[in-house]
Amino acid sequence: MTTKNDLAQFFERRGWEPLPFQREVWKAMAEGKSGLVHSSTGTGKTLSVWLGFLALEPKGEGLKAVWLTPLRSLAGDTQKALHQACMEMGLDWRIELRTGDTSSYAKQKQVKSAPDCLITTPESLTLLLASKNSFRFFQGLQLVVVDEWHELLGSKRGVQTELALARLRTISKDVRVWGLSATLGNTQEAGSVLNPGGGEVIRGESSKEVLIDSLLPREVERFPWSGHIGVRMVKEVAEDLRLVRSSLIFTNTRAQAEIWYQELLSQCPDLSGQIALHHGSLDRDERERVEQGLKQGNLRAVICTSSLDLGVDFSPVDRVFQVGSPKGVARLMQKAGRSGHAPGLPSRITCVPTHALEVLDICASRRGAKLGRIEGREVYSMPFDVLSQHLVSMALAGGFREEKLRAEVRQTFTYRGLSDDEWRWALEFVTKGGSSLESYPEFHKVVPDQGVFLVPDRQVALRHRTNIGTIVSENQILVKYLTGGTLGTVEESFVSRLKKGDVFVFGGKALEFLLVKEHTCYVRRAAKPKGVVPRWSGGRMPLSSQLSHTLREIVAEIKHGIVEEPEIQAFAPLFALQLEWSSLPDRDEILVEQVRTREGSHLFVYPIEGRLVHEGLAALFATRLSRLAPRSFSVACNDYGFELLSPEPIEMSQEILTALVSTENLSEDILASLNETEMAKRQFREVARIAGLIFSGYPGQKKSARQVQASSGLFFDVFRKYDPGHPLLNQAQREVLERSLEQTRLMACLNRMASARLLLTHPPKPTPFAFPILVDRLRETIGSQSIDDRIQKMIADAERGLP
Amino acid sequence: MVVDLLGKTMTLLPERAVLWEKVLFVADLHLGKGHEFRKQGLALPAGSTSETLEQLSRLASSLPGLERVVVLGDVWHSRSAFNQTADALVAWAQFGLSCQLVLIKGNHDRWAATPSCVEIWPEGTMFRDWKLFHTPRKGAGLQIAGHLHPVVRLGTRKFRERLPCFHFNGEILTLPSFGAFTGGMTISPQAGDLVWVTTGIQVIEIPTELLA
Repeated sequence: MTTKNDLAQFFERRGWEPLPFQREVWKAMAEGKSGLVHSSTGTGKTLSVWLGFLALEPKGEGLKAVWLTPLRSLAGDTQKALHQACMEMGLDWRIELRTGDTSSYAKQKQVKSAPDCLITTPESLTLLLASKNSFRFFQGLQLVVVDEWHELLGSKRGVQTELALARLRTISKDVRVWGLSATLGNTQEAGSVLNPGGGEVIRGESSKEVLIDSLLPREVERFPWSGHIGVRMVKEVAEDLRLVRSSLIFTNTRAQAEIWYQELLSQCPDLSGQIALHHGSLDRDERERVEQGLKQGNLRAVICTSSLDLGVDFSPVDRVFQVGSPKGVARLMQKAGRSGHAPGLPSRITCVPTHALEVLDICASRRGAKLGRIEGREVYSMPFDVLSQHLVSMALAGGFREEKLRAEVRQTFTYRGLSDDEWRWALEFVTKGGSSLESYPEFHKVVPDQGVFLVPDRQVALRHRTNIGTIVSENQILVKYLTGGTLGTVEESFVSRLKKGDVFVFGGKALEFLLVKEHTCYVRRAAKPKGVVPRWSGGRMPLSSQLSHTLREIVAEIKHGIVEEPEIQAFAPLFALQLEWSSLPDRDEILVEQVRTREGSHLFVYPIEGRLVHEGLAALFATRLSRLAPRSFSVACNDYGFELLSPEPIEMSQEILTALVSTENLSEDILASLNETEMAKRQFREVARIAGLIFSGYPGQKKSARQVQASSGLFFDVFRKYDPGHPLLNQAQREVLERSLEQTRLMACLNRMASARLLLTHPPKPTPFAFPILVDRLRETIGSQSIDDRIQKMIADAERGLP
Repeated sequence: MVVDLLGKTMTLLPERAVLWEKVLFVADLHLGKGHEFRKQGLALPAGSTSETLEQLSRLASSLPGLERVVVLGDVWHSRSAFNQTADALVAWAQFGLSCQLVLIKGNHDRWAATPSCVEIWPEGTMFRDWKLFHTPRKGAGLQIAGHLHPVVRLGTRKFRERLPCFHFNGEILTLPSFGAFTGGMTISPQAGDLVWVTTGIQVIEIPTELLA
């Protein structure tokens, strides 16, 4: 038996004092409320909710609590923490894991005899809910905790979680839902999405100090004005690593992680065996070995991507480094929280620029953190693919009745505005294969039987179960030694460019490519140590909206010479050069530079609004300018601005700028300028996979059901040709506009530019701001050439010996 | 595009077919594939089978004096696809096509019953002094085949494209797949091979050095 006094004793034994927010959570839980607790990591959120629950003295046989975690690697640590608390409270509870790794034997045992608490992922939970036993299994449920809610919110996994919670609330009227989250820009909304019926939003310990500093090159003068730093800071980072027991080095991309690992080893061979690499493409066993090594304090440093920024309790980590731009305040704070992961200890993160201009990002994130300008997570608007998947899952759970499920789905935040028409479309999609006008008699996935919708076909059921979930990655190929042993996965597109004997670097090892067979790429250790590093897609995160805003403030301050940040001062010569050759934009100005080089006429525009918005703007400018005088532009962009390059001079004036940023006919012009079909086609892969049109299986797994395999591109073409109004196509297009083009932000940026003063300069050569854009290798041509013309040109170029 | 392959003059058509004298060769129609998908619970719009047949009709009637259309295998995608679309094919061969239809059976439809109005040629049938196969057979001499659905990737810094192609390696001329709902397999041609991509509008020869 536990009581309030036991809670006090629990803390006394550890020599801790309950924090005010923990008492607040306990009070709310005692009153039977649901809620959300938000604070930075390592501030005792887990215990607050768990102890609050135990203090309620939950009774009854069977499952009492579900602990949802977005990452299965977190599950083990959570299990230990929850179990420990139970033991100290004198409770002999069974706390078990159920994830993709759990054996089917263990899973069967859990269903027969439910544990007291189940730690699971959104996918495994939906899978459980999609079984006939689900009502019996969850009927005594009293608590659901959604850990790391900020990771799920704003993703389709979050939407899937919302639907699962709605179902759990239907099964068990007593269930309370508590979310644990990092502090977000839209914490209130995060709380409403989790508890659409109302709940507390409690702010956790906020006194956690976050130090954001940087590691800068000692002699700035020796760096070229181009600003490129690259891996030149490796030596300095290595020196700092030696000062502490263990460190995490975050990079923005997997490729960058591989490169830094290689460089650290080649410049400091003595670190061999003391440092390790961790990213999402590495084999899970390898990742677990690294995580274990870190926990036991056997590793001096781990170079990782965001794969390690979630809440695993790596207490021994003393220092955290961020290589390259932080990209956003929330992300940086989350990573900083990896150090000093215990109440009261300060977090520290040291930023290491790879380019001089990134010091602006660093200063902006420090100021953003101080002012609490933290990014929110944008919530999805009614994705049809997730809803379709959910309907099939619920049909598998012993069937559903239309009105009941519709009401249940509408209880979620995301689908609260679902119209009858939209509901009918989703239902017809899973029952008839499409709208009633053109339904397909041979299609039978979900079938109504006296008002109850069921899945009668066992094959369909099995296939659906193996594909529940919303995580869709690019086609991955398993990397294996010919002699056995799995290394991880790389993207198919990378492997397809390799020839036998090519050497590439993966998992810190140089590998020689041998052959690809059945979704597996066979390799052996290469004799030479250097090779190309695979580029994984993703990781090209744009600068966040909040961060760009702060960054523009700082740039304006530099112009007026009032910045005292050490980073800016360190690179003062660079900014002085920028001011000498060109200028810097004030807050109500937009800087445009016109430069002539041998290549032609360049127009550099600096809205400072993040890469994605710049991509859209560059395309828009190119399209509208080519209407004034027909021509093609080569375009490039980065987080600060974009460039248009043309053989002929490009005219620019305040009037032209105003016309270019006009929001009139915006959608048409953007759709016309961007290869929007191509983008929608890519997005359709995810939509089609979630809606159950494509089933992917796993990397390395032999393809089953050959008769129904087709690529998503082919699906997309078939849909566009034969059913162009299909809601899934519309969804793909909407997601491209909102997620890949950041339409809302683009609109805001255009409005800002419309009222901005044009600051036009004519520098003698590309400025420090222009140079990084100029050397960007990812260039695109925007014009009206057909594929045929392009191929002819490619062949002609090849014959003339051009690249 | 008119090509000369070891003394034989053939025309590679952008519609993914080869015209040789008065015979049109196509490969891999995969009729009924959409039906098979829907039957297995994948909600795909209908229309690809009739479009494939319409396209073939249109192509055949645009070639005056055509005597035969030879399909090099995989007319049907699966057994149930055959059951669903066999009648439609018979009707089409009788009324929708202005010349004789010849089928060579492939791995997807080897068991299919033979509609009476359609000629069946066994694999390895000689045409002039070339052989006709569904699955290419290495070492069997000069031949026209399908089965592989060959495509190549073209790429420069500025653009990337994946296009269906004709491929001749000195022995085997492989045709791109004709069906409206068929995918492709990227091939890696050897130096000295001949590759022509089709953009749907024209056929363009691509030097193998340009293919990664």
